[in-house]
Amino acid sequence: MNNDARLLWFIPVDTRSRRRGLVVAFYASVALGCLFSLLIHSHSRPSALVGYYAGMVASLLSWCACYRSLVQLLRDYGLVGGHTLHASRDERQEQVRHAAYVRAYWILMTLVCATSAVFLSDAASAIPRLTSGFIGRPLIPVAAIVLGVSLPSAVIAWTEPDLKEAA
Amino acid sequence: MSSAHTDARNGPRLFNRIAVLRAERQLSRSDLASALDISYQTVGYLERDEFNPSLELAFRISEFFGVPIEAIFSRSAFTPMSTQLYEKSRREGTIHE
Repeated sequence: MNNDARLLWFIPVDTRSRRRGLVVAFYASVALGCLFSLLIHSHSRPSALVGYYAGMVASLLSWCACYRSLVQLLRDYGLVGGHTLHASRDERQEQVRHAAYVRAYWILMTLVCATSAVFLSDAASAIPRLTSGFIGRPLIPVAAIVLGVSLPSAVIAWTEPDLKEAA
Repeated sequence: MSSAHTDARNGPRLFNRIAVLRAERQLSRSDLASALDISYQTVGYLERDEFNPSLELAFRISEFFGVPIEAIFSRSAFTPMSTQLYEKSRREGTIHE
């Protein structure tokens, strides 16, 4: 994708600080989407509901745009893409990718452990709360899946130096 | 571990002469990258000693430049090639001061 085409996704990501901004924007839009999803179920006023639905759709669009930019950027680095193992990546790029997966695993495990600890502190109502939290709010489990899937890309975007700096 | 620098991502630091060898042959990073089937960024990382290649890649580099592997990679910093050549010539008596 050339620069003009990338600008269609609204977010220029040529420096590390901008890439970090993109990661923050991505997770902020995921969090906002979840927030709107929760608000929809706690308010019944039609005028408020329209606003919340609009907010949820807007954050979903922002979510998709950010993720698309993130994946494209990492494709430029040769760090994502290809469905076969080692497809078009050299050994350094494989190493960077593996390191990102390991970091993402630790971040995810920390989040899972922290969430479990919160639920365990009130074990009696944990399961009903967890299931009732998901009913009618499909965006929340989807967001949890998105978090797991996007973390390695986000770690790479956050840590890798600029292409010019690396060359 | 030896006194060599270590990199959290890549283990003990390995020094190399890839930049010098590439410059001698007037190759761009892209030329070398395509010859070795790696990305041009990886050539940059190698030249800055920020990435230790696998043994297989090290041999490919050695075969490409046509010099022994120990002439390209070392666990201690290299002295400049010009200094080494001058010292060698002095020892052999081909240069008179």
